[in-house]
Amino acid sequence: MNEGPLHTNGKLPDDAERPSDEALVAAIRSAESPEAVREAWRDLLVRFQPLMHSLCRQMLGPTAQIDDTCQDALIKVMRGLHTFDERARVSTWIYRVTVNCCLTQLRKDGRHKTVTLDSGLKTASGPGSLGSRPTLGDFLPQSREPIPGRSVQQEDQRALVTEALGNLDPDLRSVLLLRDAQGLDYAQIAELLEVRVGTVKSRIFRARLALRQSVESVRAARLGPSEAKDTKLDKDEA
Amino acid sequence: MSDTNRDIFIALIDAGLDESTILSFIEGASVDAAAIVEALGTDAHLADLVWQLRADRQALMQTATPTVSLAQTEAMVDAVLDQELIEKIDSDDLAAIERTGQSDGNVRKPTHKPVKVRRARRVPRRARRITFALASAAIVVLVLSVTLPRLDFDFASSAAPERTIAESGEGQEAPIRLAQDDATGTNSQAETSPRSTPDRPSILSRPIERPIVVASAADALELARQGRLIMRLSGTRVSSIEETRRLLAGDSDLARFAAVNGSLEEDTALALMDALPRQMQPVMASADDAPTAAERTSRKQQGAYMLRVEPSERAFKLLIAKFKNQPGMTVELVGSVEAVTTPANAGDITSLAGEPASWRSRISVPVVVEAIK
Repeated sequence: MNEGPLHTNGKLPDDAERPSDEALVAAIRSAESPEAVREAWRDLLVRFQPLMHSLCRQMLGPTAQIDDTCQDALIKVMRGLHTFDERARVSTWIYRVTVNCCLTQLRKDGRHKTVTLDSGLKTASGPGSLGSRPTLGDFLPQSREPIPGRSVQQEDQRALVTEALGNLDPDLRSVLLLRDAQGLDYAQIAELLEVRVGTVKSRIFRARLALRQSVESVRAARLGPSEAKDTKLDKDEA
Repeated sequence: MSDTNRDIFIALIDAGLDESTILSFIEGASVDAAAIVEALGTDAHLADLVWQLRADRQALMQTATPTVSLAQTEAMVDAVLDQELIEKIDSDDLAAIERTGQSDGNVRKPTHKPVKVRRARRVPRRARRITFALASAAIVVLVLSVTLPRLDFDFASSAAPERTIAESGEGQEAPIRLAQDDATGTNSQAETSPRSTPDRPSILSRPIERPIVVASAADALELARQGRLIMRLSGTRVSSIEETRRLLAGDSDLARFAAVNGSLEEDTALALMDALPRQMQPVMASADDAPTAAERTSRKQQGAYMLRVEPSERAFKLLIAKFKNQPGMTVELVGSVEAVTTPANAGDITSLAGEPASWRSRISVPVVVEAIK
């Protein structure tokens, strides 16, 4: 498990005495009264909703569908619990449901596949193409106001990266977010995507390179053609 | 693969680094530092790239700040629980009802939801207890009326001290809710419900001090006949609210069982708001989290419309099912204290379009659409 900034395995690090995710699922399955069923469901969903909402927000970018997609994911979790066979961790399964809902939404919106490792930045690097519409960065928290203690350079980097993230292919975007933003380890992501760990590493590596290209493109679009050229010349000279 | 990426791969391979090693280095895991240093030391561009990749990861890790408050989380979860744990007609049910026009005994139930949850919710324990108590009381009254026919015994007055569902709610701000079958059901509980107890008038027909909320199409029909029914459609999802408004704006398949008279004037809409109960979720929170509960029930009217509905249970069931079918939308059948539309007789013919053979009587039903924040 890596040092993710948020929850790992659906647990808050400072709350070790809370029931495990598996215990909550067991409580749902064994609840007999309607009140007990509701309470058990509420405990599980309240625990995971912030993670799910955060992932939806990161995956979908600036869209009014974030809440709806998160709600859909919550509903799918409720309706699909009987299919959960406990071979995977509860958190992994819920992440899978959420990612699938996000990908479905993106396909529905028809606004995916802007940048892939193979396609480069053909669709995103045109003048004004990135600056003229809202970007993922616009929707991420603290994207405009610096946090005390964090350098301007770091803020700029973060804003660039979040904006560039919105131009990535959703599949690449999702593995990158699961790894870096959600803090899942390779084994969890492999379990979630039902692929081998080696495949996950390969995808993440490709995603990192694609993101880097996208960041450079966003930076160039922000600077404008002449300044970007000057920057490139400076770099070459260095 | 683009030229740029091919160049990067070639550079990495030439430098003797594989994907896994580079990934580990980027993510700060312990790696063979000597190999990295050696490889990057010979290629400034590659060193710059790897440094940038590390910076990208650091930036991504900072984007995971939770973006919702606890109140928002609880509101969304409660909305989902309300939707999923209450009896709900899905599209299959609706189609079945429309096809057969029969009661829910012949309607196929969806199988993809936990049966236990749906069954358990159908008749709440409290409602079962009350129903049982009322049934017992009715039996006792029946037995006494048979065995003591000659005694001058005023059953009506002796029944007065009994607390009905309606009375037990008095003194609270919440609207009265009748424990009836829902829109999919038949009126099978009518014998035991306060509405139809023969010795006392139904709550639907006697004066009340505050709005009531009913759950069955039959009660909704009765209220509509009295001109006291308001259908309150509320939800948190923008898309569902918009779709509901589109249905009510006319030019939709709603016309199969209700005529749309268009949106109401602002004054009328405001009057309807006054007729609706203000606090609809009285059991959600304890006194300690009253502000949270207030947040949950913050409502904003999105539109008010007038429907002309065929005065039959089936038409009301279809109408309710149609609105319930929108994801996340809640349908509340509110009985106002006083009539908000002109009371109608079942025989009144108020829709005279087309040939006389197709003339149908209709009842006016105001519908209010609200967004829950």
